[in-house]
Amino acid sequence: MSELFLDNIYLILLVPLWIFLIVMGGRFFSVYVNKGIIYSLTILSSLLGALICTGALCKLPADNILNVDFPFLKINDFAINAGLHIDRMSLIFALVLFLIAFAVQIFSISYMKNEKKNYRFYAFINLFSFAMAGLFFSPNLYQLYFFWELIGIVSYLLIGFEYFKKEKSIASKKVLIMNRIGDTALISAIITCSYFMYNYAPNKTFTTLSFVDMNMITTLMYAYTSTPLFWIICALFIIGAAIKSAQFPFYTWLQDAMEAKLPVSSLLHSATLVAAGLYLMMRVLPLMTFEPIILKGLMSIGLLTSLVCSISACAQTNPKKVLAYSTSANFGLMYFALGILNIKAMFALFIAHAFIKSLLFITLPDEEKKWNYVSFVIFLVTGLSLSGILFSGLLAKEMLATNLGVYGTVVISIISFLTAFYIMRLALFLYDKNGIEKAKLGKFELISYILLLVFNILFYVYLHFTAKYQVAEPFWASITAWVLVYILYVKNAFWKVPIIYPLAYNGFYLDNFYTNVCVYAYDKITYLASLIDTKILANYKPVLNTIKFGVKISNFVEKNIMNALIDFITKTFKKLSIYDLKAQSGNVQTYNAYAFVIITIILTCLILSYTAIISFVSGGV
Amino acid sequence: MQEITMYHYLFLGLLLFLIGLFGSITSKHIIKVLICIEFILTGVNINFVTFATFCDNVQLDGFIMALFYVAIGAVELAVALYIFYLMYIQKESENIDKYGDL
Amino acid sequence: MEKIFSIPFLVFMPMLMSFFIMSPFFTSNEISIRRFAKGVFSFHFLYATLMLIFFDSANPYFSQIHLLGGDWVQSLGIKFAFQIDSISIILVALTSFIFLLASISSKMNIRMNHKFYYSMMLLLMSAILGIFTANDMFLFFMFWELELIPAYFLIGGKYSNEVTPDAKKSATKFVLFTFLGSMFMLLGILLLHYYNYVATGTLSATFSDVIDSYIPVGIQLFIAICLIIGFGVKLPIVPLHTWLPDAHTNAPTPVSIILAGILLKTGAYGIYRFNYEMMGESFKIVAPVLAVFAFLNIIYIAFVAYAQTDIKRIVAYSSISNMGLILLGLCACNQLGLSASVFHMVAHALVTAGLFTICGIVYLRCKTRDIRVLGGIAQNMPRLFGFATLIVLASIGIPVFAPFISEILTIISALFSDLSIVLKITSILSLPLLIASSCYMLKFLHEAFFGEKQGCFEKVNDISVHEFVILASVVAGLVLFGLYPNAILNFVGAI
Repeated sequence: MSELFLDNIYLILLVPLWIFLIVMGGRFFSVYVNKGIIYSLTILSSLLGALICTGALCKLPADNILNVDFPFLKINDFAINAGLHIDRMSLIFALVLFLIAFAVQIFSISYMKNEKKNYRFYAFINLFSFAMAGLFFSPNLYQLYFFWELIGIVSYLLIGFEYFKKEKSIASKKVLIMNRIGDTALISAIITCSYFMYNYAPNKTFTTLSFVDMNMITTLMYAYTSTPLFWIICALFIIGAAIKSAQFPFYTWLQDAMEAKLPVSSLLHSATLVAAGLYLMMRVLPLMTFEPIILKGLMSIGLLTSLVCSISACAQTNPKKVLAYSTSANFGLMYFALGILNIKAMFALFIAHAFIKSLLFITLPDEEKKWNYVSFVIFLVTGLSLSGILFSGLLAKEMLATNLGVYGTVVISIISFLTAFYIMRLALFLYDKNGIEKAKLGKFELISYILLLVFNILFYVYLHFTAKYQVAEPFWASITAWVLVYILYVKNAFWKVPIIYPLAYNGFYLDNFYTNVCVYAYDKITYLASLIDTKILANYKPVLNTIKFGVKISNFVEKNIMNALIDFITKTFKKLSIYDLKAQSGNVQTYNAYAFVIITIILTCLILSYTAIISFVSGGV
Repeated sequence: MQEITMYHYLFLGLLLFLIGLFGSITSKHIIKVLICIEFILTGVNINFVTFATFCDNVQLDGFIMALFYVAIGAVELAVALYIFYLMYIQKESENIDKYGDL
Repeated sequence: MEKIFSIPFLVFMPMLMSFFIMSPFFTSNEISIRRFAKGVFSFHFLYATLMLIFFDSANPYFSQIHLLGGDWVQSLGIKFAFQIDSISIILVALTSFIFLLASISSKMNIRMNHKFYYSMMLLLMSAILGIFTANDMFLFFMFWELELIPAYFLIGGKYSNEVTPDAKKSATKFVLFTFLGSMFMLLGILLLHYYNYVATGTLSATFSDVIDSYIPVGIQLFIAICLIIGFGVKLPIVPLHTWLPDAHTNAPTPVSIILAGILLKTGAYGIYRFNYEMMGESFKIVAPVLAVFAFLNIIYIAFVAYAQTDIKRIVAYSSISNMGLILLGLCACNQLGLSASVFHMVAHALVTAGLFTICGIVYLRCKTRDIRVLGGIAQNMPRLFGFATLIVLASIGIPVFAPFISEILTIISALFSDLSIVLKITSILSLPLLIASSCYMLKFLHEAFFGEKQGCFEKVNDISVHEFVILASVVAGLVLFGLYPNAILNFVGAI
């Protein structure tokens, strides 16, 4: 019985994959699975995943790791393994994934009801569960990369779900290319580590960079590489994670990802996909701890992102963009926690943020529709939680803020202030724009809201009894911000600060930079390359001209030299033939004369060489 | 007065041969050509007889050859004259240039 | 079981069938010709697959034909010798498969001159199989030249009522370029033959008898460079690639599939056989330079592909880019690189077949290939859109599919090679391929399929059963090799 959960843990991966295959595979053969079946299967798979993860967490002792792998690719002694690696960390991440997936999938039953072909949507969501769980249960960096790219692809497919709208296609393309840049950075780091392991490590099995050996591998890496190269490798890992978690300066793709539908934003881009970067960082953390400068870099990236994105969020008018910047900012805080090696705070922040942000997303109102009263209240409550005033947000922020220096506390307070500021501003902005209606909420939405709220409160209770914290500066900063925003709203005095407002509104012009500078440069470079290819390399004119010139030379030679030669020979023979003509006179007498002369000559020669003939005959005989 | 050696007779034969040759090549009258051919024949005969006489010769080959030549020359002349006669009836001219049909 | 597998049958049966189809005895009925040809291709594919299954790498297939009791040219040691070893058997099976796919695709795309077309296809198949199985240098060269004739007619012939003014010109360009290259190749082969005789005393042109170690280094390098120029026209190495976009764009769809799927691989196979195996030492000297050209292939062509406006041209340039990867794998001079190259040969052949099929379907339905005009056809052709997404994602190297493995493995092999630092630098510099290829491929996909429906495409039909079969088998093959790469790697690793 105790092994029931652990033995069946592969079901977490396989059930969503199976659903994806039957839905999409059936589509190609025009066999459409019944919608009710799809919905129930999807929800049940998430529930199953959550239950198995919980059970496994309870049964798995603290440091135990369950690892099973087999060589996926093997060429002589170079082998890359695939399999499952289950320890507490992966189970925690997976549990969060499945709980949120469960709630969001329930929500999307009613939200996606009117979309045509929404079986595709459910298929992709299931594929996402599979890919994400596969990422969390990867035994080595290669399989992590495999699923890393796969989740990028699922995100691309979900953002471009409505393929008949031009802006969605542009957005999904931008998202995929930015994710590919991160993938390139990550794979370079992985391959470089693999190279050092293959050539220098005592055990060739380290080549596959398994997490079981990660401590050993990182020690060896630090020993084998020179310091600049080590910094580069760590930087590449950080860049890969940063692009996935939408940190500075790569947070622009998350803004484009908001073109997707609401459940997609809630599930993928707030809680789980962006957590993949965090998971990667957790796995390669031993590598980062060797040089303090790397951790400082991680810290500063996190902090910088937090500040920049919080400021940007304060000025946005599109609610989803505000929440996207908020996601980047909160992940910045998590990277900051990682940088100061406060792992408990990081986990607390992550789990709290996951529940909070997904709930914030799904309580958003539609365009031009009135905001439901219950949704509004839940939004406000969750907003309070995000700012660190209520429930788990409070505890997470406080766990972070313990044991920081003066500067740290100041910065965290500023960030809390800004967080509260933009959330409250957003709530009031939407209250104005959409208006409130006191209608009844659909049952699916209500269930999902209640689920996420309950998860939030449960986590708060759990933290309350296990973590130590104290109510400190961030809390007061947030309260101040809420009060300030309310006052500004009542006085209708939201002032657009001159320099900061344009910067914030355009996301510090990073998106403009990428589009206008990078893409423009790429266009020009490719145009130049294409010109080189068609005008220079494919330019056959020199060859043709050489051939023509050669033809001209041979013509000249033929006309002037060879023809002249032939003409000369012809003329001489003509002259000679005149003499010959004269000889054919028809006159027997002249013939006679010639005959006499020639015969005389012949006989004379014969007689003169008489002796030679005699000797020849006698010699021959 | 010197001795009449073999060479005088050979010279006579040669002289006759050359007169005949010259005449056969240059004359325009067919009868003249035929007569000159007889001259050639006579010159060759004299050569043969000379060699037969002066070179100590047991078998007398030269005389026999001369005899043959005279006979053959007569026959050949008869045939030639007859051919000339037949062609003269057609052509009505003795000029050899008119006999260039072939 | 080996008794029924005969390499001459494998190679010459299509040639005989080609002559049979061209002969006046054969019917001119389009359907009969097509069915007969498809039957021949299917049978050949079955035969090649059986040879693959029963292949034992410990004793590869050998075969030698003796004409009239002697070798081909006895006094020069040139024989009609055939051999299939691990790499050849994979390529032979791949050839059969790609030709089968092309013949299925020929149904929609070929409208006239069926007799001629199918006989030329069979002749081309025979020539390519001969290239892959030849064991003798001059036999290899004979088949190399033999494939020019059917390729010329297939590219430049008139098979449908549309006006393609550039087809003949592209075909001429292709033939002239290949001729130029094979001029160099012949020089290299002759020199190799002669110097082998000088060095070892035996006059033989068989691959296993040619030992290059005794040839002086300068001559070795010269021969190697001549051979590489010859093969470099086929596997397009960058300055010599200019025939390819025109040839692939102006050829009909099945011919493009064959051209990009198999014909380019003959160049890579030639480099492997001649330079890597027979002239190993000079290849170690040449490999760093070749790796730089491979890098140019990969990255420069990716840039050029982005700027194109014709979807078939984009796919043609992507072929050049992928062949650059194959070349990089070969230049790494280690077992990993060789496995990666062969794997990518298979993966890329499948991907290219899929991509050209999609281009062909789009062109058939929408009558245009211009990316500025196309748009929004996904709404009318959702199944095509699904397949197109899968195949485009496969070509840019997404995990579940085969090219992901081969791209990563190529870069790993180039990094791991202990030949020279140039290879390591080239491998790291080739990593932006992941980004560049996704740029142009996604441009192709998004401009053509996404967006609002253009008015001119109101009445296009979705894909038919034949096209579905081709696309489904391509995707199945890619997923199979992507999830179970050991299927091919076991073959290659056994060398």
